[in-house]
Amino acid sequence: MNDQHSSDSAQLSTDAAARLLQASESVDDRVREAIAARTQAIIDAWMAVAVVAYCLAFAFSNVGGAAGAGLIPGVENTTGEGVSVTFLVLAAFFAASGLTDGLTQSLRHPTGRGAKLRRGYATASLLPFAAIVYLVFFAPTASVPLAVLIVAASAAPVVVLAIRSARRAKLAGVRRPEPALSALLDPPGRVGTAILGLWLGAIGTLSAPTFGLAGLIAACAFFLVLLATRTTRFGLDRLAEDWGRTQWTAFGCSYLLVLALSVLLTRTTWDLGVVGVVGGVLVAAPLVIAAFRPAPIWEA
Amino acid sequence: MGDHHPRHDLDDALLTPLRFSVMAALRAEVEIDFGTLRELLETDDSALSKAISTLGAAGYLAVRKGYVGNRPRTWLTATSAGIAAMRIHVAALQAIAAGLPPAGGAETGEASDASR
Repeated sequence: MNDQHSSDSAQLSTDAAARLLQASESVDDRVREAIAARTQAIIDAWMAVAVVAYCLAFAFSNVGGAAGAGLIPGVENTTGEGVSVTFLVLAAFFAASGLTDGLTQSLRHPTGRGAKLRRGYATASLLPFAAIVYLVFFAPTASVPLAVLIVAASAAPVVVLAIRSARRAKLAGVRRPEPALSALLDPPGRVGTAILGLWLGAIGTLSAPTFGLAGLIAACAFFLVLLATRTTRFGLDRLAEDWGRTQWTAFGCSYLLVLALSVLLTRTTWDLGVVGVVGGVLVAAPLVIAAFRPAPIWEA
Repeated sequence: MGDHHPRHDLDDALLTPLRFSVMAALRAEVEIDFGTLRELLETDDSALSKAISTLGAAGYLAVRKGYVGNRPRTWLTATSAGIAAMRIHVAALQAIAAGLPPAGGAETGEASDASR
């Protein structure tokens, strides 16, 4: 592309103007693709962390017999309460998936190398889940250390891809600058974020054995609401577009707290009612606080 | 000034294909580094530097120096003045490309000249 100056704008022909417009559209396309590739790399890196954390928590809380006792001081095996906890972990994971799906759908569909990377990432993400299915159905009495080892080994490919994605995102030549403006989320965003936190917290609390199947019911209601609000103003996909770093960090904290709570509820002999209540409050708090914190505003 | 040919709205700073493409690539909410922009526009360092300094002097883009690791990077963003100028320029190009005649009859001859 040359920088030859044609100062006489009157000479600009219809064809030349059309060609310039076409070239501008093509440049715009390439820039969008580069932005989408970087955003997708960030999503992939964090989602890999979420997948690995989820699978490890699942292995800790749902697999393994009494042989798992003693892995963590004060944390040992309790049996028969796995159903609600399984749904607690699933609720957090579905929320994470709903949020990241919203961001992914707003991006351009990758082509060429980007599409190949996506396929590789999707395949690698399935391996830890396959390991969990194997453990649950074929080796339910495997010791916790062995279960965790199997899940960790199966997660190796997705971890490698996540590190590569993070590196690609860091070195990318397109990125968002620090936002100049920030403001509170709009009312639906605030309400949606706070309700997400409160609901995850409630599922966490109700998953304690003290509350019977209430946790399971709360989790099922949560899944139905996720489905019903999908693509609406209150849907997670829309929330994801409005969130800033504060809200994402808060969700990350709540997510990890849910997973930690699931492990404590199944592997401890502590007072599980108290663990559930304290855990639920801790799960809800970050998102409720973040709902009333500013998020960046990007100029159109 | 009732009779107004779209060419009057063309911005001199955006008249070269490269400068126009630079502004088409830049956004207010995204920083693009010099090397990436050069690859996206399939141009060379020297031509891109000249285009950037002209656009910078017009106040259409902002330049920020930074580092990624130990490597120096030059980050570019469009300013709001640049975005507004680009919008007017693109509208004028669209009008020219559509072969729109001037609003009044006085410039009909000029319009046909411009579209040749």
